[in-house]
Amino acid sequence: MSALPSRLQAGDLTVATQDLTKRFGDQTALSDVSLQVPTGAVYLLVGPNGAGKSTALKTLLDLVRADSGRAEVFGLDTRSDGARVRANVGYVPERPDWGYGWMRVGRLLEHHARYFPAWDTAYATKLARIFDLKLNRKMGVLSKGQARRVHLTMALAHRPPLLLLDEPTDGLDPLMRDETLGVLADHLSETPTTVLISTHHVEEVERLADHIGVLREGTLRAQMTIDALRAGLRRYRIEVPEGWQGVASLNGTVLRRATGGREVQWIVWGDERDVARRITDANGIVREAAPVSLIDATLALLGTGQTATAATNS
Amino acid sequence: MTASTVAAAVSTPALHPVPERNAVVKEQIAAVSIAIRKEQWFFLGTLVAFVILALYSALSGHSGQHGHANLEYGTAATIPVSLVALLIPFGVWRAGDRERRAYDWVMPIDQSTHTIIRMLAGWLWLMAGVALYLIFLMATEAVVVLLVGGSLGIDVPAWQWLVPFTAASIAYLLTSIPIIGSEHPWRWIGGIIIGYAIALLVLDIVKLHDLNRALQKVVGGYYGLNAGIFGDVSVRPYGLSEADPSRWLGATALWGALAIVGVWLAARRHSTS
Repeated sequence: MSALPSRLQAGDLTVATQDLTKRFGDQTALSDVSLQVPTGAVYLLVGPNGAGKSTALKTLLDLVRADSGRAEVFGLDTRSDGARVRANVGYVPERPDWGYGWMRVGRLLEHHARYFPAWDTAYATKLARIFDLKLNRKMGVLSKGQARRVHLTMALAHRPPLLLLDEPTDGLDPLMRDETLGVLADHLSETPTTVLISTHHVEEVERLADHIGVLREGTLRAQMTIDALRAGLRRYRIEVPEGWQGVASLNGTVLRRATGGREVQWIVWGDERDVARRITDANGIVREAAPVSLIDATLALLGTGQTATAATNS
Repeated sequence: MTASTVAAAVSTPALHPVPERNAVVKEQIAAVSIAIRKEQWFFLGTLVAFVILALYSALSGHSGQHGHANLEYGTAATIPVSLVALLIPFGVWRAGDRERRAYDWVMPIDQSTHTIIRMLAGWLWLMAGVALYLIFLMATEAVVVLLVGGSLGIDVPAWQWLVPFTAASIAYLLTSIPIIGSEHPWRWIGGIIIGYAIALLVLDIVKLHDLNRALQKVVGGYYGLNAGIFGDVSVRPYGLSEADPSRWLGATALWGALAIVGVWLAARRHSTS
């Protein structure tokens, strides 16, 4: 269990990409990204701004075409079967000015409904009420949060088998953010849906998620179930002798380290008993091996550059 | 994992259908109507103002038509609708930059096809506008003749009534090309106009007159742009102006084909952004 897992052991996938690479000029947005989103999962794709999250989602909708690699959604090639894929995806884009700025909200919902034969008018009306949509206002004058709520209604109301949500809570006030996550939770309980959420606000959507993928600088650093993440990642508080040299062969990945006098703190991906034994063998005393919160785990995963099987005290 | 195993591992639930093509066409016609609402009101306002002005002019005798208004339909009537046609694509594609226009591309329909449908929806409204314009024009002139006497010259060859429609269509398609295919349509439009003017100037300065004349023919030649988009299809034998159907047909075929190919290429660019 030394290297961070980048492939799931799942059989039934709704989204599968293979070695997706996309460059914009001399900038690499995606580099050999192989996403695997199991059917029914709520998959968090996390990463800092510019990590390639939005590009990955756009590739699934054929809004952006990869330079190499392939993407499949529901087993359909996103390039050759883009229309069928999009008929089954609810998409919330990152940009709040997406849509027809000159159209009134109510008319935009009608417009959207005509493109999605599975549109549930009663559900759309319910969502519009919950989100307090101003149906007579033009899209172009809405605030970021108001526009986001319209986009969420458009994404959910045809009850698609897949939701692609790009920063879905961006621009929402705390109250509406909570309301939105509640609506999402209700939606998932009522409608069998796979969800791929791109975000850098992990703490907001943590309660919904069961899978996580970490994207940084266009590279998928890791993807796994959140249960596996919680099981495999530990924060070790180690008391060390003076001049301690670290562990020669840790058989784990040190994601973060902090030193304070005779105590060091490591966040390590690896089998807890094995890691603890190796630290002890190297004359360190493990005072604590504690689980890591999802937000700390994400930060640690984002910070890692490469697998390190040896860990020195530096 | 190979490509084939990726495919095998991906699940295929019962999928929602894509919309019917007719439903999309109807919706785009309705949506474009909303997009160009301002232009529609402006157009109607202009027509009404034209009627009022024409009637006032006839009744007050300012036009010198009192008692003998000899009004004759001619292909010059094409110019106003062509000017409108050059600008209307900006209304049809009001959504802004290409990134924001991605809303259209998220719809469950082939992206190039969707672009063409929207473009055609705008064209249908334009054709309705041209028809309305001709009806207003003739009705106004008929009223003027009724009020002040004279004759109404509408017994022109049938093809001349088609000139405003074809010219406006070509103007509309040509302006649509940079709007559909480029993030910066004004740069293309301005660049082509300025580039053309500079080329003429440079050729004149370096005294390449034959080349200069050849370039001028692109716009003002027998099958030039003026004939294609402004209905300037007259020939002047012995100093008399007479509309020439072969000039109209040739210019329409040439510029129409170029415009259609341009729009098709621009629409295809959408799906590979």
